[in-house]
Amino acid sequence: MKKLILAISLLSSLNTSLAYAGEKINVTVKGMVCAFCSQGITKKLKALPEVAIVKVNLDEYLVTIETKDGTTLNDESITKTLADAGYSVAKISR
Amino acid sequence: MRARNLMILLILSISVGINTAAAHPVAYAGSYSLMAWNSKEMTDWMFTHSFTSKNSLSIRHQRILTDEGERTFYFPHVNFLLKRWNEFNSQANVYLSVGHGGEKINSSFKDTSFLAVEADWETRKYYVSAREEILIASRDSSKNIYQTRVRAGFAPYLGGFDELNSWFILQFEKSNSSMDEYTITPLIRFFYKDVLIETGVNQKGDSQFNFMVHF
Repeated sequence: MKKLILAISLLSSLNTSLAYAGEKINVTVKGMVCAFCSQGITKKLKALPEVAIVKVNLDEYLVTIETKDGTTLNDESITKTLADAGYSVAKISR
Repeated sequence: MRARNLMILLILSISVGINTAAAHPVAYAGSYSLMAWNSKEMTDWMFTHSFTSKNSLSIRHQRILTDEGERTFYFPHVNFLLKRWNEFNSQANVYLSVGHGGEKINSSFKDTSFLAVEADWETRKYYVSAREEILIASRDSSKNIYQTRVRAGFAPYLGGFDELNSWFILQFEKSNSSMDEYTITPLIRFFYKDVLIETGVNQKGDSQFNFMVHF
């Protein structure tokens, strides 16, 4: 009985962790050829309440977004935010 | 040794040339930018707010030293990103700017209109741009100022997003406001995150220092 309770507790804890984990989103972006101009990408994305971390890799045309625990970001929001920064989205993968 | 001396000369050299502060007239939506271009013949300060990624409003002060003396202009202008081509390895843009303000003459202001067209194409390694700018003096069309600027540059290395980036740029300018109608200026440009500076020397040995910040 104790083992059953312990197992249920552990499973509940694991589910809780999974439910609140953030999401990692890779966005392939067109037009990122200037680091000075591309700073707007970070600023616009970090202004979104769901976003925790933004990383930009000019060599791979890649913007990586990590959302805050328990949140997600839909493709439409990502595309619009990058358009506001002046760039075009080629692909979004999760 | 010769290459190092040339580098030092480029960095320390000074240039005079008609130049304008309007590179990147539109930035990311909601941004503000301050641009300042300074030389013996011209001071150009511009504060810009980009409402969207396609249009912005600038407030500008220009002081231009002409053959007839110093001329000072104050004017707001609206900037439009007419077209952008975003590719994986390049970006190209066409901009239009229009405005109206005044030229300060003694204690009064005379109406002045402003029109500019600019196009550029860049990769992480190469850059070319061309700009035509006109200040239209309502009092006398012979007082109009026409300025053409063409630039070509290359990056000696590919800087990362959070690294110092450097460029060598050759700038050609033509203006009807100066007896020396043509100016050729090699420039070196540095930028790191939101701050950009440029400095160079023209063929007459006069200096130029330009500064831009986004926030």
